[in-house]
Amino acid sequence: MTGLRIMLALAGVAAAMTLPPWVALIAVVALAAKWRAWEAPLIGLLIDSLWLPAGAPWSVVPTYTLVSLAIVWALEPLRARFL
Amino acid sequence: MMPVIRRSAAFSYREREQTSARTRLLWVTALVIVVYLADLALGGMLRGYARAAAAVVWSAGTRVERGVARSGLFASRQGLAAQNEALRAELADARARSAAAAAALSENELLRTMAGVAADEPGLTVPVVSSFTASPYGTFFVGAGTQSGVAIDALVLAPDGYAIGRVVEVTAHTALVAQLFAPGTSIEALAGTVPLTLSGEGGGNATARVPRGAAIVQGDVVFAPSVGGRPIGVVGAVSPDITDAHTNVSVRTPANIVTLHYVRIVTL
Repeated sequence: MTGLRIMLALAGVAAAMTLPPWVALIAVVALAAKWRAWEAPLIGLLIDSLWLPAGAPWSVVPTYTLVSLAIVWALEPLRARFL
Repeated sequence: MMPVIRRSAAFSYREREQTSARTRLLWVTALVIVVYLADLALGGMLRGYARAAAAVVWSAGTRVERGVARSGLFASRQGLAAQNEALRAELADARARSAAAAAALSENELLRTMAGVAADEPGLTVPVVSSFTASPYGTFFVGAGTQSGVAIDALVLAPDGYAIGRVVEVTAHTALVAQLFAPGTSIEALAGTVPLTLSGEGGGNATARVPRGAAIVQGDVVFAPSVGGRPIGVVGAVSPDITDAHTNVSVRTPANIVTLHYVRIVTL
């Protein structure tokens, strides 16, 4: 199980750098659905750090950081119920 | 007398594990927020480190790709892929040349009515070092930075001379380019004499709505005043809607943006 988690996390990181963003998002959802995955928000942060142009603080929204945080915490009740 | 509740050791261990995982997640959430805010406060210094690390991975990936290609491994598959790539490149080249010719014709007409004289501009031909498809924000990296004379706001041109983006961030050896047709952006342009506001859709595509009956046809070259009147795309499709007072216009860059290996940066 830990192996699968590591593989998903590495796939998410690799996807963040080289593949379309939805691939990384799938990895984030898969991680967050099964585990309290601290890797998920880091993948979101990596996508934004790499690709989001810097600008005025409120003019650029770090969408993928926020989405990955939302996913990982929104799935918490589901994990608490079934894990 | 209160009943004594005894928990099994396994249950207690699992509960402890879950609490610890939740705590870890809370800490990482706080860390992510702190790192993002710190990066903003430091003017993007932290993301610079992330990009430098990614650049190492990208260049290693390129080396591996070339090594595999040279080794002859997957030769038959590689042959087909190469043939496919060559045909695609040929098609893109033909399209680009046709569009460049159309642009030149339109530009000539435009120049006849303008007082200015076009002059050759200094520029650099630089490699694209990152994937075009990986960015959700319509950005990509080129392998040249301040040390090569690249500056923020410098215009980025495709090999056919069409403007495709602007430099938005620059480090010593790399620069981040935002595409003109990045998703969520808009740019004022002219197709012939018809003004239009293009909404970027990423991948070198944009759309606009113009009044029905506007003199726009497929193949028209689209120019943008904000990039010095350079061409930014060609009209790919004009779709009138009989139930609407407007016509939908699709604009694309002539070269397939995803296959570009080199771009030109205007350095003024």
